[in-house]
Amino acid sequence: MIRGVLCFTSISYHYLDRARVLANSIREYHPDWHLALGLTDREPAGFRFSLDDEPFDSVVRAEDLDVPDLEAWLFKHDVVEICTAVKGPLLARFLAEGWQKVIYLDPDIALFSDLRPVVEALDTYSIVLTPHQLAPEDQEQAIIDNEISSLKHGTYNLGFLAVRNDVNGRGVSDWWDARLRKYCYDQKERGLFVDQKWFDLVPALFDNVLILRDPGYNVASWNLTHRHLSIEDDGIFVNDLYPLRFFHFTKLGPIGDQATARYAADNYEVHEIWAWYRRQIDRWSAPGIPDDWWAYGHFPNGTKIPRGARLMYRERHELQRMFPSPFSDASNGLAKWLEANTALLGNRIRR
Amino acid sequence: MAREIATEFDPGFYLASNGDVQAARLDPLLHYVIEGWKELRDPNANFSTSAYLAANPDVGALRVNPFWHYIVSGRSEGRSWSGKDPRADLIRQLSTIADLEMAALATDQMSATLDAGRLRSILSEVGSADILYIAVSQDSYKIAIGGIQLCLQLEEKAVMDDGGAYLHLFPINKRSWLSRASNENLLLGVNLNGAFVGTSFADDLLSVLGETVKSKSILVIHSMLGQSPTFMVQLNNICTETPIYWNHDHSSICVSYNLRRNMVASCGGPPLSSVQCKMCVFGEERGSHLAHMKSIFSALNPIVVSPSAFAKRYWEDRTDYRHAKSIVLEHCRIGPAEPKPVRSGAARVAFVGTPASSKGWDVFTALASKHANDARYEFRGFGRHRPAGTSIQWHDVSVLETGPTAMSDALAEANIDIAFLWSLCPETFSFTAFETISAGASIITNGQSGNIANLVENTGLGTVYSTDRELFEAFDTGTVLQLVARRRQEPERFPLIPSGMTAEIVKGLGR
Repeated sequence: MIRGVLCFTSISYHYLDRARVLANSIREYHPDWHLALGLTDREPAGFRFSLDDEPFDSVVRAEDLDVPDLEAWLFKHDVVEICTAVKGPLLARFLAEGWQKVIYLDPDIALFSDLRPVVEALDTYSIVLTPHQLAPEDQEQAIIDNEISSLKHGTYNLGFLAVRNDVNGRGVSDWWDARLRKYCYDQKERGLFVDQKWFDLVPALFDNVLILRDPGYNVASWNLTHRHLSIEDDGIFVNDLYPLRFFHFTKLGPIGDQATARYAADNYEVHEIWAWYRRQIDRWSAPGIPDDWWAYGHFPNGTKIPRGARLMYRERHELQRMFPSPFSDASNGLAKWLEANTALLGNRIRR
Repeated sequence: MAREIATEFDPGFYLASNGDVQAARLDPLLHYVIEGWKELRDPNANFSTSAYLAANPDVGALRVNPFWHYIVSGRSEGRSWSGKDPRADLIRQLSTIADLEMAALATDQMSATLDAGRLRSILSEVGSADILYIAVSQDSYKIAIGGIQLCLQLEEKAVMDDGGAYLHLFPINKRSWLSRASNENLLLGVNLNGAFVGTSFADDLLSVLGETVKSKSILVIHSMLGQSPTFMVQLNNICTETPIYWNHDHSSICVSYNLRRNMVASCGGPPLSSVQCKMCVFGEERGSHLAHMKSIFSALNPIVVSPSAFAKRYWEDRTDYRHAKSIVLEHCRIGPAEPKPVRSGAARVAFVGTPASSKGWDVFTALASKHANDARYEFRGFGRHRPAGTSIQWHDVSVLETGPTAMSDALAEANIDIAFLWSLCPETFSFTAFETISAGASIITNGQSGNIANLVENTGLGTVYSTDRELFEAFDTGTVLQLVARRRQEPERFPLIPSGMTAEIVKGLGR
């Protein structure tokens, strides 16, 4: 069956407010798109998730993905790693379902005008990418914050990805899906940074890749040095000429504020856009979800799973064999083993 | 190092904000160069030592004076010093009207000093007057200060001189948006013939006024903010004459009555469907605000009075409300020139009015700080609200207490050459501009200041700059001094002649 445009994002419940703001902003410009939500989480007690109340057309939970040994896979990742890792299986699934054009957007993005040029570009190209930066930096601090950061984290920002359902697009998707199932880690010392760094290889490995060099896309703190925003009656403009397509509200909170202060400086429109975003987040917040909620962040008894435990499980195959259901807090489960054999759970080792 | 720092160091500011340095009688510059920067003290009102270090961690690692670094290299590298950014802070702290209303409800006053009986005996005297003016505005002109309040003082005097009665109603529970209170909860302050007589609920006022008002009477709206739309229509139903709507501010165009998008940018009152409104904290409220305004104008069909041709045109371009007619009446006029003494020396530049960012106070302090040690200029401030933490010499001037010419007299007496009237919203009139002209000083302003820029263009008594940068260049290069030299050749003052406000209109209608 041939289907039109599907747009998806990927979250744990902590980002539900952001995903709602994103989806509402997409609806405003593209009411005809199918909006899908990738959800790697379970509801906290007392919270009910109903698609009828959400601006999404469908939801795909981690449990619905075709991933073997799902529990073990989930345990190997922290929340950022897993919410990016599922993007591979999700993209492959949507292409297999017959969607002709699939667009991924990070939940902390909001659209400010339509993405028609992207949809049209997919008539010609199989892949559309937006680089973090489009112009060289000339200040020391910006070289460190932006260029060196892109060398570490990847040239292209994977908060945005558009794929056409053709041989080439499916080729990228299959390759990426396979890599993310095994290597979607924040391990910069190994040259890995979640799903994103992999795409540095894409223009070399695959054909028909469009590197979209339009400053109206994916505006964020990491490229504000070369992008000046203005708010007019008929739209928000970047460098006076380019309609702002979408802004990436990366790091909502004090760290984001500091980056805005540093790079927006007296471009107060950036501060205004952020203030708008905070109001939207307040409006679409999900009150039933505790601040630090992530169902896979804890053992059933409430003990937080430290990153060290995930790393150990990830590295040691015998642990994976011994504990195929690592979240269990049964007396012969991984939690008990960690308690007895490591200091990772904040305990003293009992031996 | 001290030499470079000295060029932009503001010793007055440093002493004013560091009492210990002043008390110890230390040299402020030396203290900052040796000790102060390590203690994260600031060299002037614009530069934040701590914010510069926070924004530029590599500078911290160098262990050099951050202000020196900024002057000799940071600025040309385009480094941000951030931190001290009142405009960004303002944006971060914006609240929706809905949230502000919720917060305000908690502190509302809910008891009146006047019941219907007391009100009846107080208002019985208005029956004998030839005409009763019922004026409404956002606060008491007997207490608060500002352009609208001054207008009400002028109006009260003119009405009483003509033998009329002047009843003024103002909200006790202040709002800078339309009141949502019902008549039994809407508490109003009552000024009668220039005296505060108490507070009353709107329903009592309506029933008592309905009984007592038998003569000629007219509703005069100076501001709808804090007033209730329903009450306004009911009040007008009691009156005999065509009501007057004074277009003092832009509250009939937007709940952001000075047309400031997110309180920081001049928006020009765009269509409600505009992206400006979508992005603005006032955008959400504006839809219902405009609907209420439309219903008030439809019911009242008022005479709309604008205080300048600029304001009239601006209003007509942006509204389509029902109204009987639209006219101009200036709050005061300028009389014939009188000579004033000749003076020489540094150009005196004055900030006049409320030191708020929407009036350009931030720009003025930046300018004054930049030229703190520049012998060509002296910077002063004039107004009722003395700002905290500034080294700028401030003159307390209150038109409310001293009389309508207090400001122009003070400006003339201090030999002010230039008034800095950097309003960042379109002023409909601007008393300060007239006061400046009256004092014989020149005006510097920006293109967004509405009637101020309009006056400068019509009279030639000043300069309109299109950007902050142009302004700063004029002071750097000294081209602004041409303005001073020209006025000093022919020093003159002009008397201010106040208008009778609505009384003048009513007399005109009677003729």
